[in-house]
Formats: sequence, C-alpha cells, structure tokens
Amino acid sequence: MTPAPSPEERAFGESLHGALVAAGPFPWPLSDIAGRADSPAHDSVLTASDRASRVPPTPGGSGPGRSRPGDFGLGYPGPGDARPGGSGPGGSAPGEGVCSVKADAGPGAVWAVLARLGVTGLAVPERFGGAGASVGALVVAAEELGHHAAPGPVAESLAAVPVLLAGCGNDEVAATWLPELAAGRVLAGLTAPPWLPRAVHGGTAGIVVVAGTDVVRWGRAGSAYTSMDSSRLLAEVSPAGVVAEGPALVPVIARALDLGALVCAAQLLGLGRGMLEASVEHARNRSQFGGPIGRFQAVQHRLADVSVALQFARPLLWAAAAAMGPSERDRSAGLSPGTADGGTVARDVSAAKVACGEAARLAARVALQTHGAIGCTREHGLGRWLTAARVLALSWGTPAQHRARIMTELARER
Amino acid sequence: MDTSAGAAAHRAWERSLFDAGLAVVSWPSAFGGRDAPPLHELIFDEAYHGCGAPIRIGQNGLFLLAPTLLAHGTAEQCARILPPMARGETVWAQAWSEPEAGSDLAALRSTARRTDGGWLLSGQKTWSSRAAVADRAFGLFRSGPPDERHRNLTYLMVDLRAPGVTVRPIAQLDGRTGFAEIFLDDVFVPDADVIGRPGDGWRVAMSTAGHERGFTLRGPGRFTAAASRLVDLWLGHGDPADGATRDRVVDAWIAARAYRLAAHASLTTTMPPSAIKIFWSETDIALHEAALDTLGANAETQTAWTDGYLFALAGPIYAGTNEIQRDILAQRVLGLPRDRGTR
Repeated sequence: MTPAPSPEERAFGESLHGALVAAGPFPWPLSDIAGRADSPAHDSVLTASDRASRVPPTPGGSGPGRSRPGDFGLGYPGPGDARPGGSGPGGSAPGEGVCSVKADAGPGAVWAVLARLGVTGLAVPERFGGAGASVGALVVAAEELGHHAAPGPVAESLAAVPVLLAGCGNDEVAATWLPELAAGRVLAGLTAPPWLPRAVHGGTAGIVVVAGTDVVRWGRAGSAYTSMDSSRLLAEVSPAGVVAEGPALVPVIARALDLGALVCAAQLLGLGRGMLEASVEHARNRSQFGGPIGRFQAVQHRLADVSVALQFARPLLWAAAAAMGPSERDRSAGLSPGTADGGTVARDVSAAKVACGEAARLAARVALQTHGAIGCTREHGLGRWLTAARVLALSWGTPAQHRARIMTELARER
Repeated sequence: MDTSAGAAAHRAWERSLFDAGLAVVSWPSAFGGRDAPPLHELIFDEAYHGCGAPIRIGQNGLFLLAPTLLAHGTAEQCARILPPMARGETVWAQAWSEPEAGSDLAALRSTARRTDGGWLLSGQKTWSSRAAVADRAFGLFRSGPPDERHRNLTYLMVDLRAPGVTVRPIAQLDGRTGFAEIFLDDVFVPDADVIGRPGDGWRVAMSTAGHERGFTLRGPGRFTAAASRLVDLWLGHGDPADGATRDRVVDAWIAARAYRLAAHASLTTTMPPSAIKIFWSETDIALHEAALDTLGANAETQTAWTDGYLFALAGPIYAGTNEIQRDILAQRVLGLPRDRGTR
C-alpha cells in the first residue's frame, strides 16, 4: 500500500503546471511573482478575461470568443441561456435569479482555460463527454489549481456536481448538463449544509445545485455576498425543483461530497506549496542587515516547519484518494470498487481535509510574515493564496466538523 | 531494562526473536536476517508494536550500527559483528555526544592516538543510550589535529569491558538509567574495529545519522499502536463534552496515520530524514499529551502513559535536536543560505 499518484497522474500534474504557467497572467504562479519587484503583481479579473479570450475556442463548442445572449462575454451561460427541459416541478430551472448578481469575470475565464487543459471534464463520465478520470487525476489537478490559486467553484464544479448529476439517475439532466460542465461552458454552484451553506458563484454559475441527504434539487440564487477571498462571490440559495430523490441517492450524495472535500484538501495543499515556494524565493532575495533574510534561523525554522507540515499532509491526501476508489471508467467497466465502499472514505477524507487545511494555514501565516509589509498589499498578490487558504480551510467542512467525523468513524470501526 | 535482571530478560527476548527468524528481517541471511524487502520490514514493525512487544534493547546496534556496517564495513567486520548482535548476545551503545559537543558534534574532543596495531582512546562521552547495560559502543574520535573540524575524525567500535573504561549511569526523568557517561583512559581498540578509513569518520557517521533520523530507528508501528491505544482511551474515558481534548486526540491520530502512510510512501519516494525526525518526535509528544489530557487528574498515576510521555519528551532532543533538523531542512532542502559561524 503506497498511496501516491501514478506516473500518468504525475505527468498530468506536471503538464498542467506547465500549461498554467504558460497561460500567463491569469492564474498567476506566486513563485514567479516573488522577487520580481517590477512586475504588476495583481492580476485583475479583466486581465484574466482578456487572457482567456485569446485562447482558441473549443472545437465545436461555445467556448470563449463566442458571444451569446446573457453570456457576459465570460464563456459560460447566463440567464436566458440553455435550460434543462422540464427539470422538476414548479418550472424552476437552474440559472434563475442570476440577474441579481453582478457578474465577476474571474471564474468564467478560468474555466475556459481549464477546459482547454482538459480539467473540466475529469469527473464527467466518458459517455457524457468527459474523461471519466481517476480520483488521482482529479487530486493532481486540484493541487495544481491550488498551487496557482485558481479561483472559482473548483471542488463544486469539477468534482461534486458532476458526480451528483451522473449518479442521481435523472438521465435527462445528466445528458443536458454534464457535456456542458465537461466542456467548461457551464460552472456549477453547490450548497450542501452544513459543509456548504452558500454557493460559490451561485449567482453567476450556469447551474446551482442543492444537495440534501437523499435529495438533489436545483437551487435558486438569492442574496449575494462578497468574500474575504476577493475571487469568491457567494450566493444564498433556496431550493427549487427536485432533480432526483430517494434512498438510492444517499451514497451518491455522500460520495460527491467526500470527493468535493478531497478536492478542496488538494487545493489547500497546492495553495500551501505555492506559498512556501514564494516565501523561500522571497527569503533568498530580500536583503536586510547586509544579506538575504533567509540566512536567519528565525526565518529558516518557520519555513522548515511549513515544509514538514506539507510533506506529511500529502500522504493523507493520497490515502483518501485511494480509499475513494477507482475511476468512473473502472466503475462502468465493472471493476472492483476497491476500498471505496469499505467504510474508511469518510475518515480518510476528513483526515486529509484537516491536515491539508492546517498545513495551508501555517503556510499562509509564515508566508505573510516572511514577506513582511509587501505581503499585506493588494498589489503583491500573496493575498490571493492567503485568503483562499483561510477560506477553503473552513469550506467543505470545518476542521471541527471533520475532527468530529473522524472520531465518529473511529468509534464505529471498533 | 536498566537493571541486570531486566537487561537479561531483554537479551533473552532478543534471542527468542532471533530463533523465530524475526530479529532482523531485512538483513542478509548470511548475518541472521531473511533478506526481506523494505515493505516486509514495515509490516514486521507494525505487527511487533501492534501486539505490544517490548522495545528492543539492541536498537542502537540493530538500527544504527548495522546499516553503517552494511554500507561501510568490511566483510570480516560484518561477519564478526552482525550475527551476535542479531542474537542479542552483544548489546551496543552509541558514543557520539560529549559534554562540549552536543548539537555541535564536530566539536568533539575525545581522541584516538595511534599505537601498535590499533588506537588508544581517551576522553569523555555522554548521553550514551544503553551504555549502562551494553557490551560495546560505537562513535567518533578525533584522530588528528583539530584544525579542521570535520576531518581527522575516525569511526571506532570500543569494548566497554576493556581496561580504562568507566561507565557511569545517568538517571533520566523517569528515574531509569537509559543512558550513561563513558570515561575512556587509553583504551585500546584494534585496527579491525575501525569502520571506513581512519580520518573519514564524519562521512561514515553522517550515513548513520540518516538512519537515526529516518524511518529506520522509528518505524511507524510504535506510533500507530499508541494512536490506537489513545483512541480506545478516549472512547473509554474521554469526556464527550470536552471537544478540545477530543480534537487533540484526533489530531494525534491523524499525525500517527500520516507518519505510517509516509513510511509506506518512502518505499518509492524519498523524504528528507530531518523532516521525518521532526515529525515523529512531535507526533510522539502529541500522542502522549492527548492521553494525559484525556486521563485528566488521574493521569499522574497511569504509568502506562506517563512513562511514554517522559520518554517522548526527549525525542526532539536526541538524534540531533529538532532545531538542527530545521537548519538542515532549510539549508539543504529548501535551499536557504547558510550563514552561521564555523558550521
């Protein structure tokens, strides 16, 4: 048992990192900012959007560059765009209420880039236009997205909602929306109290989903909130039409939420890694008292502690990925579910979420302290990693919720 | 273990392990092992600690000296030294630190003077684990002028029963004499007991340091077993309203699991020994702190946990303090600049 990325998954992560670096100013690698004093360090959402619009449109798709009504030029649909036909009682449909929220150009532009890199379809089964990739591939991708501080509903749109829609048994909804999610034309917002009380980009996402214990509904976005992480826009969501319900959904929803928490943990690990790299770079280049501040033990030891925390969070992440079992492709081929149904998923995902969250929090504190005053400025950009880490550590289950769940599971195992 | 009867019982236990083919599973069969791959060694470690088996009286030899001999020793040395070590007949102590050479090991002053057919050792070693009950010791001695700190050091094995050796046991926090001072006054060591080339001891010793800090000395089984006991303790005695202590219990369990997973992952990837050492020593303390907090006011009478706690407290100090490990991590792994006097 050596939970670790496969060579293919590792190569995918490396190629993704290269592609995100090459994508330029949009998902800005912090390691490139650090030490480059003359660079305009903060990428505005406009920059990101401009950048994404230079990406060639997805073949056959309605990717960036194609203008549609209500599109906001963001590469994903707004109100009045495609709706699922007859999806539930009351005529409710995803997308309702989005007018109440001013669009943020960020995630749509990111999604166009991610679609081009093949990230948006990872968790979508192949028959719906996705890759049906392994959990490991998703984890690798999520860590890189964290590494580059990619904004948007990553765990929701790339992991949890595809699993919900693919597994809920509503074929019409699956056939309508999964290809859109896979192609990156639609973002999905999600609420699932108590882990996710509000939807990230719920007001501007193409679809909003509400997950209960045994029911999946569409959501209607209401009041909007800005976040401490200024790349996030949150929406209050009220449940609307039922997508699917019944006891058969309980394991599907549980798996979708565990996968979302796992992806969030991977993002946190990537955020922490990005902040450690930036801090080391800064400590090597920033000179005080006649030499680099990185020569001081007071600086060195804190960075060493971050390194230890990240190194020992990673095996937990990979153990949880292994526990979550094989890819959708393996499942549809009738392959063994591995330990996925063996009862350790909840425990292992929670352990990964706690450890990655704590490591990222430590990385954020140390990164800011290492950077000093420049790190506190908006223009530097460290704040994107820092606020994302703090916010995601509390999203997809707080540390307290996950610790409580671990003890519940440990008691059950005995 | 610190009494002669206790030490005899531990030696008998080692002999039982050896007779069962379990004393040194990963060693070559020529020296008493079974050529087991690293994964099997991990499995053995977890099974050993999982069933509550005692700590190994021979651990300094088994986990520190033996890997050094297998890497740097001669065939003659391996054949002569390893089998009796595996059988529990020769118990080894380590002789690194000196009163003026702790974290700064290269400041050591004990000397090895050339004589006919060997060396004469003089000086004082301290914090020598197992020395109170051991037969022999291994360590570094200065065999030339001290002008270059890391040169002219020689790695030697010395008989603790030889003329000129005085061992003075030191009582630790728990009252036991787990370590001792060793005084050496012209103690003869034959050339056959030099490991590596004379003067090349620092390089040889550093390979042992990697074992001491990595998964070799502290396999995950010990922490996995303690974490399991801790969870049982919490479920049996914890106050359900005390969420703060429960969270510390869970965090210690998470850390022990991370350590186990990292040990398995280390079969295919490498991890800096310094990171491993920091993590196991902090995890050991966290496990025992959480247990004491769970026991509350009753904790002080529960030797099953207080003994482990007092032992765990030393973890961040021995095998190179965690501060030294952070220096190494920062400078050699993260690539931060080195700027500290003579080091």
